[in-house]
Amino acid sequence: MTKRTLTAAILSLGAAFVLTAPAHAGTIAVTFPTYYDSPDGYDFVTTFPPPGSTTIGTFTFSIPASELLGITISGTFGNPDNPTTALSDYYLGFSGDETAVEVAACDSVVADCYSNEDGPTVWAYTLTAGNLSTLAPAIAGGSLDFTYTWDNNTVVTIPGDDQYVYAGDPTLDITVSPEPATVLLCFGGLAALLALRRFRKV
Amino acid sequence: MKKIDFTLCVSAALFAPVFAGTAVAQSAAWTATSPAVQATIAGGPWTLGQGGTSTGGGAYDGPIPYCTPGNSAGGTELVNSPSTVNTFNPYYFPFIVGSGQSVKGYFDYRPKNINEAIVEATSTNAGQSWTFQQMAEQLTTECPNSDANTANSGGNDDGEGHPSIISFGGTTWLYTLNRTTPHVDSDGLIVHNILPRGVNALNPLPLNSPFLQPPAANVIAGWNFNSLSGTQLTPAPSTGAGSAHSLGMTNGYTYTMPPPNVGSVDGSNVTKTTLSSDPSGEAAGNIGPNNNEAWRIVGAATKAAPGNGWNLAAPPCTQGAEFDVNTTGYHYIIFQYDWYTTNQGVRDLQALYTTDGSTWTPVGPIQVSGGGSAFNNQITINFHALGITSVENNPNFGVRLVSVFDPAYIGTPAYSIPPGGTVCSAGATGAYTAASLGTNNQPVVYNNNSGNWRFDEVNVLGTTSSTNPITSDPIVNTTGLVNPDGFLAVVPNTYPIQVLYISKTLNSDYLPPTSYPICPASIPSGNFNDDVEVVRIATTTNFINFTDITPFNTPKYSISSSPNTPIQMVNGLSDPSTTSYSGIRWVSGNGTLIKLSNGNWGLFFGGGNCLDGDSDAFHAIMYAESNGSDLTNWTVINGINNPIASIATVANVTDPQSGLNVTVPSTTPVVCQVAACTNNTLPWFSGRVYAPNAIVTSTGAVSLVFAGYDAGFQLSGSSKDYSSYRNIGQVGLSVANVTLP
Repeated sequence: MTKRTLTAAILSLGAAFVLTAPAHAGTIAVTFPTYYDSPDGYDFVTTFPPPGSTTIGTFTFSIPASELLGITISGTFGNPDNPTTALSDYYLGFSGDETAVEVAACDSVVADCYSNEDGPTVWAYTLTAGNLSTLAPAIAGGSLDFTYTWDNNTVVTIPGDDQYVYAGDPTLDITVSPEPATVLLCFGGLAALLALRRFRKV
Repeated sequence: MKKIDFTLCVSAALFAPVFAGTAVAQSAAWTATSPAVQATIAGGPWTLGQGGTSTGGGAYDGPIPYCTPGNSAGGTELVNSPSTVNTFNPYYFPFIVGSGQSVKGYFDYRPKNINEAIVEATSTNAGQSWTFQQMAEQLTTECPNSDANTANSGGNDDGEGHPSIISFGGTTWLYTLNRTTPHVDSDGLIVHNILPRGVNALNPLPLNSPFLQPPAANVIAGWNFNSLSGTQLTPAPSTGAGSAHSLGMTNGYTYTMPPPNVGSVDGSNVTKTTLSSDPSGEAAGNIGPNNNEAWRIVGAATKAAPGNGWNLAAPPCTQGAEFDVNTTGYHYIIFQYDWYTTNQGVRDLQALYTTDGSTWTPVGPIQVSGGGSAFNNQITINFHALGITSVENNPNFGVRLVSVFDPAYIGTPAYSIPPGGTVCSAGATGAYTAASLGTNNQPVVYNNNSGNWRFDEVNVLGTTSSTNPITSDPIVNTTGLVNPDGFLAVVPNTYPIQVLYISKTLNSDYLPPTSYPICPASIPSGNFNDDVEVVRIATTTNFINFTDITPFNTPKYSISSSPNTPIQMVNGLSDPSTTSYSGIRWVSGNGTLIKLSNGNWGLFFGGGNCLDGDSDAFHAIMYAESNGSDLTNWTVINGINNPIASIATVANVTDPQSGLNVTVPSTTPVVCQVAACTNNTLPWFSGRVYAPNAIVTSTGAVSLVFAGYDAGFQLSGSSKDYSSYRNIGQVGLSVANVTLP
């Protein structure tokens, strides 16, 4: 490879990098603090059934919907202070349908999330095409609510004592494709390299 | 049978053992990956290293005393800043929650003779260094009055200890051992529902435990008997106001002596007796320390009534002494006394109390004489700690100290208490025994002819302040756990929740129906221990009420020719009847249970045997595996002779069971594979090593956090070393043959 060829390659790759970074090509990670339930918790014995849904927080982001490749949400059942959590289901949703897509469930009294103090227990969920379709308006608006509901825990009832939902490190990872301009620059650089190489051979 | 069929059969028969052999799962094989190190703690209360060395300093007058400013100026308990990092002692009985590098630990903070409390700390390197977060349930706020400390009721450090945690469904439950007399190893564990939130890790527990005594108690009435002489049937108090009289010394019982041998007349008197806690008024020509007056309860032995007063025919709880004190205006009542028995004096004493002057109720355990011609000093009944507040502000308060049948007596009539009754019940049966034991080290029946009791330094204490120094923290005890000493492990992923727990029955190995061979004197300290300690299993659905589901198994060794009676204990982990120096007679709490890829449960635990003479079970950290998922049957993989960690080698001793000359451990412990051990141990755990908490850091490794004592702590008298005990340590282990969750 000649010096000219090498320079062109570095320039084209460098240009691609410089132009891509501000456009957030790749993954956008949105997170909010570990969730601690109210100190009052919830007493299944004295007030039953439990309330509907409780929104823990809202992920806000800004992406052109046309570039979306996928969304993964992750977190833990329990947190560093409390290694387990009450039986509960987590959802992504939006105003009007806070439980649109279930993304995690702690639904067994003998599961790690509920009865293993070596926790917290990590979970992750990648939205399906159907999920993305359901959430499309909210994604386009740059806002997804993270919500939980109680599982009706009628197996374990602790009279007079509360149960708590603990959601650790809720994180939304949004994967996007590179912008068209970036792609063009990359391919342009590669084309230039090939052209130079061919020209030199001739 | 065709030839080909025959060939197949033979082949199958030949290969069956091979296939069967390959189907048996291999047990875990542990190796050390890093030397064992003493952990550190940033912040928190006073630590041993701040007090100085084994040859100087201490909690009272060390470079940084337990209290600030400390020494004779007293002050308040030291609280280290978060930037102050010290060696992690005096803490023990760790209970670690979590896996990986970031974990939480609950610890028993117990500076000797000074205090006891529960401390929570966090670590981000799997237990090598810790950051203090919160302390709760401490026994006292008092400062030591010397390095040995006699403040806080004579150097009391028996509060709440052995913390363990059940985290379930977002709730967290802290369990502690009530170490106070008479609750230890008989009451249920104390249950605390906590709500950890950041540095408020023990929220909402108060700093001070319900056992904390009022800091400035007054002597409402006290008797030292020093200003009295001769016959004293109703001795006057030396301090305050109150009354005292003997019980049951005037009677018409028949005595064992030549006729006339019927009848006794009260002849109680004061007499000089050495070694009570009363240092005052020593007379010239003393024959021993503290040789001052004590009150002797005895018959006068007149010609008409020659009896000694104490008699086998007397119903239990009718002979002894009574002290009545008006507590009007006083709270937090404490009764303390020195009790002396002559060699032939009755061996067992029960305290009773009254709040109406007529109904008497037993309080506290039966006190057992230490062997005759000796004082048992400052036996304490803390009514407030016992939850008995009816004795406060009460004009009719009184205490009786009376003789009862000996529960340890093996013979006729057999000791028994009627259902729902007490040691004083009319239907109680048994025999009074003498303070001096027989030649077989067993109690013998009182001779019905001689012997007496004496009392000194009898004090009723209280405070005129009714302000409760303790925030609201009601004591809730577990039910269904039999003589619990603490949890060994919580079984993950179970409902009802299962626990392995330590069941310790004090002073019972020689009592029917157990009748196990007793240990010879321990080596080298010469101690004896008669506790029966086994691992049991229980379940719960509400964290308070437990159901014991332990199967019956039979200890192997018996002092008689007949087999032992089956008792509830898991099989294969320990045997309370073994006297072998290679056996495991006792098991301690705060171990770790891990689910293995081979389908077994792995268990790290502390244990000990007759070499130790102590049921605290601290000789070695060992490892066992369940047979499949069955938690009731175990195989010890790393035992006393090939342990994970051990105290110092005991060499060339004769095994009581086999008669062989043995050295224990016989092989190098796992932790010494990478550490520069001496005598198969490291100095800071050469005297005790136990409470192994394994933090799973990967599918092939754990970080083991445990507790250890320097051997110097085990020594007696002036040789005892308080500079390195209750150390928290850490060692890395890797595992072969299995993967970890």
